[in-house]
Amino acid sequence: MDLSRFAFARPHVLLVESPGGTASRLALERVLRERGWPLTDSPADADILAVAGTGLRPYADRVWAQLPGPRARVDLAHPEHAGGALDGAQRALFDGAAQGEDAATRSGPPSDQSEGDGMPAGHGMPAAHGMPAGLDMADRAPDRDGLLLDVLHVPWGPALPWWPAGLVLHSRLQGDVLAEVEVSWVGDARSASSFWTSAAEAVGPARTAAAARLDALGRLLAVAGWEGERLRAQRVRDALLDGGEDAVRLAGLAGLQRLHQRVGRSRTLARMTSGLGRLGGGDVTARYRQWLTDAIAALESGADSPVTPLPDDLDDVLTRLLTGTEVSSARLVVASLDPWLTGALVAGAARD
Amino acid sequence: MTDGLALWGAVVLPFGLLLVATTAASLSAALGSAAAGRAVPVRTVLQPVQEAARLLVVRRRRTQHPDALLWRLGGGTLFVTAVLAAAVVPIGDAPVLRSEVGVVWFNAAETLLWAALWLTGWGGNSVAGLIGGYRFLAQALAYELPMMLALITAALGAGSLDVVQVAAAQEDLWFVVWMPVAFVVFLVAALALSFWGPFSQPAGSDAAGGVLAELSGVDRLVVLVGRYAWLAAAAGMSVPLFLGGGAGPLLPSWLWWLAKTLAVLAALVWVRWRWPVVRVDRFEEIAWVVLLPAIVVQALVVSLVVI
Repeated sequence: MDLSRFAFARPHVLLVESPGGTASRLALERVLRERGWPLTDSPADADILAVAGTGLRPYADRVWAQLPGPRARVDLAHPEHAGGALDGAQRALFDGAAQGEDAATRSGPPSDQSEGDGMPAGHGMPAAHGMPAGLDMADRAPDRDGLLLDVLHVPWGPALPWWPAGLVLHSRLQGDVLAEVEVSWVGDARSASSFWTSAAEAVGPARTAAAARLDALGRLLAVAGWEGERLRAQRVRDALLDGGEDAVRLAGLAGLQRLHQRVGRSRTLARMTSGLGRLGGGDVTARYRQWLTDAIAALESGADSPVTPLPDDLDDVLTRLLTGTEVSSARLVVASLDPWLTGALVAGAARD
Repeated sequence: MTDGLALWGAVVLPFGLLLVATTAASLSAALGSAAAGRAVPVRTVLQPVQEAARLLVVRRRRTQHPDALLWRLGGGTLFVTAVLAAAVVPIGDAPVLRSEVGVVWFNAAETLLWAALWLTGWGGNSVAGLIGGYRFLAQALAYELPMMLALITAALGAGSLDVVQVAAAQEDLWFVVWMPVAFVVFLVAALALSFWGPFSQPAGSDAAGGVLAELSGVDRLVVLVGRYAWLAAAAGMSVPLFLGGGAGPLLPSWLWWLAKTLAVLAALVWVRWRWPVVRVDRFEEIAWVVLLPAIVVQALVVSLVVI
C-alpha cells in the first residue's frame, strides 16, 4: 500500500477566514465535518491550509511558510467548489515527487521564519521589526503584580482559526496576560453582513437569525474547548441554512433545544465564562445564553429575532475589555463579540 | 502472591502500555466521529495507527533558537515516565516491578511531568508553547496535592505503600466504596496530569495548541503517545488502588484487571466529549477550595476507621 495515501487519508486542516469569506468558511466546515477531516489549531499540525475567501494573502502566506510539509493549500473564492478544492489538496499531498520539489525549494527545515521571539505559530503578521532576520529581543517591564517580566509584542490574527475575519489584535504580552492591546482591521470590518443578508433572502429571516447565532456559538465553543458541542452547533446551523421543508425547521428546533439543555444550562461552561467581558449589563455567559434563547424564539415564531445593540465604537470597547486579561479570557471575550464585530448580528437588526 | 514478573515483563511492558493507549485513542476517534454526526465504521479503530503514519511522514519543524535538547527531552519524558509508573501496577497479581513503596514510586514518576510539560512548552521558544507551559505548571499546582493525598488515602486504608498489598487489602470491600472522594480526586488528577479533556487547557485551541503548538511530525507523535500512555497508566493504577485489583469471579485476575482498567479508561476518554475545557485559573480555585479540603476529610475518616 502507498504509505502517503494511508497517512493522508484524513489530513488535518488549518482553516482561516478572510473578510468576506463567510460563505466559503461555512462550506469548508461542512465538507470537513462530513469527511471527518479534523480542524487543527496550529500550522505545525496542519497538512492543508484552507483560506476561506481571498482577502488575506500576505498573512496567509506567512502561515503557509510555517506548515511543515507535505503540505497543500486551498484558497477558496467560490463556496460551491469546497469539496473539489479539498480533493485537489489531498491529491497534492499524495504526490510524493511534487512534495519533494516543494521541500527542496524551501530554505532549510521548515520553521516559523516570520516571527521573532518565536511568536505563536500561525498568527500571520509580517514581521516589520526592522531587526536582522526579523528577530526581536524581549524587553522587560513590571507586570500587573509589579514583578519584572518579559514583554513580547504579539499580534493575534487575522489568519487565526475561530477568530473574527479581518481582526488584528496587537498585544504587548507578559506571561499570558495582554498588558496592552491595539485593535486594527484588514479589509471590511462588517464583512459578514452581506452573507447573512443574502442567506435571509434564501431561507428566510427566522432560520438565518438562528443560524447566525449558532455559528457564533460554534466558534465560541471551539475557543472554550468543547469540540463535541461545537460540532453539534455547526450541524444544526448547516441544516437550517439548507432550505427545504418545515420539517427542517422542526429538526433544527429540536437540535437547538438539545443544545440549550447541554450548553445553555452547562454550569461548567457558565463558571468558565462568567464575569468576563462585561458590557451593557451582560457577560460572556449572558451573551451565549441569549443567542440560544433568541435562536429558539426565532424558529418558534418564524420571525427574525431582535438584536441587543452594542456600542458603535466596538474597537474601543474591545481594547478596554481585553487590556489586562489572560489569553484564554481574551479569546472568549472576542468570540462572544464576534457576531457584532463582523456584522453577522448587526445585519439581523438591519433586516427588521 | 508473587514478586515482580521476570525480566520479560519489563520488555513487554512498553508494548502492552502502547496497546492500551492505542485503545484509548481508538475510542476517542470513535466518539469524535459520532459527535460529528458521522457513522462509526469498524475501521475507525485503526485511526490512531493512521494518525501515527501521518505524523511519521510529516517533516519535523524547527523554531528559531529553540533549546532543542531540553525540548526533545521534555517530550520523551512523557512516555518514559508513563512506563515507569505502569511498572508498579499489578497486572492481576504481580507488577513488573514489585516495590515496598510502589505508591510513592508512582507519585514520583507522575511528578516528573511538571518538568516534561514545562520543557515541551518552553523549549520551542514560542509564545504559544510558553503559554501552554505556564498553564500546565499552574494546573499541576492545583492537582498535585489532591493527587498525593488520594494516593496516601488508599495506602492508609491498606496500611502499606506496596501496591500489591493495597489491592490485597480490598478482598472484603473495594476502597472505592468507602473512599469515593479519593477515587474521584484520583481520576480528576489523572485527567489533569494527562492534560486531557476538560483539563487540556495547557494544549488549548485558544493558544494555538499550547504545549503542542510547535510540534510536528515524529516530535508530536512522541508527545501524543506519551499523553495516551499516561491516561492508560493512571487508569491501570486506579484498579489496584480503588477497584479491588484483579479480584473477580471465574476469569483470571489479569483479565479482571484489564477489564476494569479499560472501563476506567473509557470513562476518562468519554469525559473529553462531555465537558468544556476548565480554565486553569478557575480550576485552581476548585482544587484548593473544594478538592483539597474534601480529600483531607476523606483521609481523616479513613485514618479514624483504620485506628
